[in-house]
Amino acid sequence: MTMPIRNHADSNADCPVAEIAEATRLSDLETGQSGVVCCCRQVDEANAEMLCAMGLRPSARVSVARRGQPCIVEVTAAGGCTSRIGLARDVAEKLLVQTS
Amino acid sequence: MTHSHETDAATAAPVDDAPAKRHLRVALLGNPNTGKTTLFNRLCGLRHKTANFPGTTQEARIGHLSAQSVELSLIDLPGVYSLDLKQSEAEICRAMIDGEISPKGVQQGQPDAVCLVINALHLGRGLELAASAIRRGAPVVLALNMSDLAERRGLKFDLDELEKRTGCRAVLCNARTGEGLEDLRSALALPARTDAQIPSTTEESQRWADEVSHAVLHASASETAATITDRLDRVLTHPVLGVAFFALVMTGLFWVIFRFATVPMDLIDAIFAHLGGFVESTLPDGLIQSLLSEGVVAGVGATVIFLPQIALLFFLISLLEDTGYLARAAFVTDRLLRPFGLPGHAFVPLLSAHACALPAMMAARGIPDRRERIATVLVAPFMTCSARLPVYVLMTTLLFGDRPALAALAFAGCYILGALAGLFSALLVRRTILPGRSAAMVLELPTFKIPSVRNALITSYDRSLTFLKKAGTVILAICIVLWWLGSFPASAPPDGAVAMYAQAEQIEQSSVTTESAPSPDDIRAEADRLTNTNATLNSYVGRLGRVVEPVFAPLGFDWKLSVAMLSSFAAREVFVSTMAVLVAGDEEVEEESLVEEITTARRTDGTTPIFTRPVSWSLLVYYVLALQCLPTLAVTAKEAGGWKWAILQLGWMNGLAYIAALITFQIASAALG
Repeated sequence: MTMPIRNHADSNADCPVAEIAEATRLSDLETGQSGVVCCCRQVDEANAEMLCAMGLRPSARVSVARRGQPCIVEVTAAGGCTSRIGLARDVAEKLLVQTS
Repeated sequence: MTHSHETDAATAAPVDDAPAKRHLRVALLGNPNTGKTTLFNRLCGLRHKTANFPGTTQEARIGHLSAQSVELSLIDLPGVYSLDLKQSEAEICRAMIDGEISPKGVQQGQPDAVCLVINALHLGRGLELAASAIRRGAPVVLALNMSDLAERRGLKFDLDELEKRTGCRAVLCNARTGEGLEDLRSALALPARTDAQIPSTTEESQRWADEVSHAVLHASASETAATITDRLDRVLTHPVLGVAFFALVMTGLFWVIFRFATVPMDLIDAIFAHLGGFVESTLPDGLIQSLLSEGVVAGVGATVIFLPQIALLFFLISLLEDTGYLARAAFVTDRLLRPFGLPGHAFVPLLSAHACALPAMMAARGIPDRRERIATVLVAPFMTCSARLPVYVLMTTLLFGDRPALAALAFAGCYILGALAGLFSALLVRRTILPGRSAAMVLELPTFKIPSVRNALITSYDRSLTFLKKAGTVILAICIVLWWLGSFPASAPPDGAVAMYAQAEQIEQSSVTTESAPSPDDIRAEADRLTNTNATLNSYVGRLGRVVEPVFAPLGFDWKLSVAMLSSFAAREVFVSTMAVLVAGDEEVEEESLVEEITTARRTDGTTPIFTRPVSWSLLVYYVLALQCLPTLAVTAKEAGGWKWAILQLGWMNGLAYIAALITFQIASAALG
């Protein structure tokens, strides 16, 4: 699935509370379902920095390639190329996405 | 682009004016899975060496190449997602680019250039890393690698725009085919600092990298390759199918290793046997001859014999890694290893430990979490390494010589026992001295690719060389020490042997020969055996063996076995040769005849066999579990960060081996009589 990515990466601190309230946990998405990461505030610091460096950060477009423990998510980069990241459920549960 | 920095005056000078060949240090930096290793191998080939960063276990390869009359030293840094991460690899890259550290043997100071390798499919991520390198004042050259994959995905790059926005030279290349590398060499020979405005914070850099990517990329990716990866992943990462495929791959890997490594191993064995024979026949009898043939040649031979397995293992692992499969293997094994407190990353080290624990413990550096890394290093030697094989072969043949199916089953049982002991020890360690939650998995699964044989060959060559240097020197030293302990104090042949030598001479001199009488050669061989046994018994090793005999007696071992046990403490492969010397009186006995000799070997009382079935079982269990390898201890101390870990490992493994062998012997004695 090729989708445009948002150009502006919000920092975690900017996560609007209202947006979080409507968000779904990444671990709850079905295989093939996609969304935009809106908050990874709950992920512990070391993992959050790593995820951020790998492109899995607020405003990144993600889709679930395999559900479960562990799961696989696809992050869409500029140009439409995707990178696949294997994630423990612990981490996927703390990443909030907006599916709308 | 400007050439502003003072220390870079030479760098900035036009090439034609340079009076002599200039020398530049170039750091090779990049995200993991960008083809950095392939690029290094393509640029430098075998013109490289490996050196540690001072005070760390992190190694870097330093390669050499020339471009436009400039000599370049290329320093291959570990792959990192960001320079700002709190991990040892990122810290080393940071310190290297800031000029605070350099690998041993490389002049310290900020590198003259940073070659930033970017996976062309993930330009944005590479640019973020580039931004932090540029912020640190390094002249950066951007190498957009994997141009073929990008082309296949329909991506087009505006390199002029990229150079304009970053202020860095940018080259599109393909390390696999060598395409674009001439341009890259030229760019590296003329590095320059950028005058472009690079954002100063991480968040701004992310935004900047996204903007530049959008401006530079001119087409949207097609989905073909993504679909192939997705289809393969559906099987390879499946909870059941993935594990089944993994088991299949591992079986194939071991089959190839054990099927094809035996040929060069036999060849090496034969060469060293001839070399030993040559030394013995050319040099006069005496200390020097004995030191060279039994100490040096035997010692070097004992190390080199494992080289084919190690070379083959790393060749195959490198191929698997190159395809992208190893990351999937870590993904599916994470579920299996997690209950034992180990991450999926520990799978490769634990797998490698089946050839040799030394490179395996070095491979454990790839495990991000410190506690998980130490736990892996501690339990890796439980895996059945190739040095245990001669003992397994000997013992399973003794136990089931006439029933190959049962022998094979026992053999497989040894592997399983070792692996289970390792996993449960890991669990124990993680529950007690290295507690804490396991770091949750965050693992990139790279796109599937055709592997590069050239890369695999170079990796295999590197690992083999490291093994020879690290293990070879230590094993050689140990063999010399053992030779000394086994040869001193020297003792005269016993009376019985002297009488037999005289008898042999008498028979030779008298022309009368009777068919039933033993030949002089047979008598001499028996006399040699008596002499050697007597010499071993009186040597320091023999004396120690008798001192520790009571300790091993509950396991069913007599003094000869205790001596063999002691002499193999430092390197377990010494066991078979020691038994050969003690039982057969000759190290060069053929395997079949050695098995015969050992089967019929008696204790000092002359009637009880040394290897009863309970003793063979007990010995086998002991060798599966015990740590008998001094180089392993040295590497553990280095990799885990202190001798306390090595001592703990030694105590735990040998204690466990002792108790398990004791239980085995007592149960087997009761059951088998």
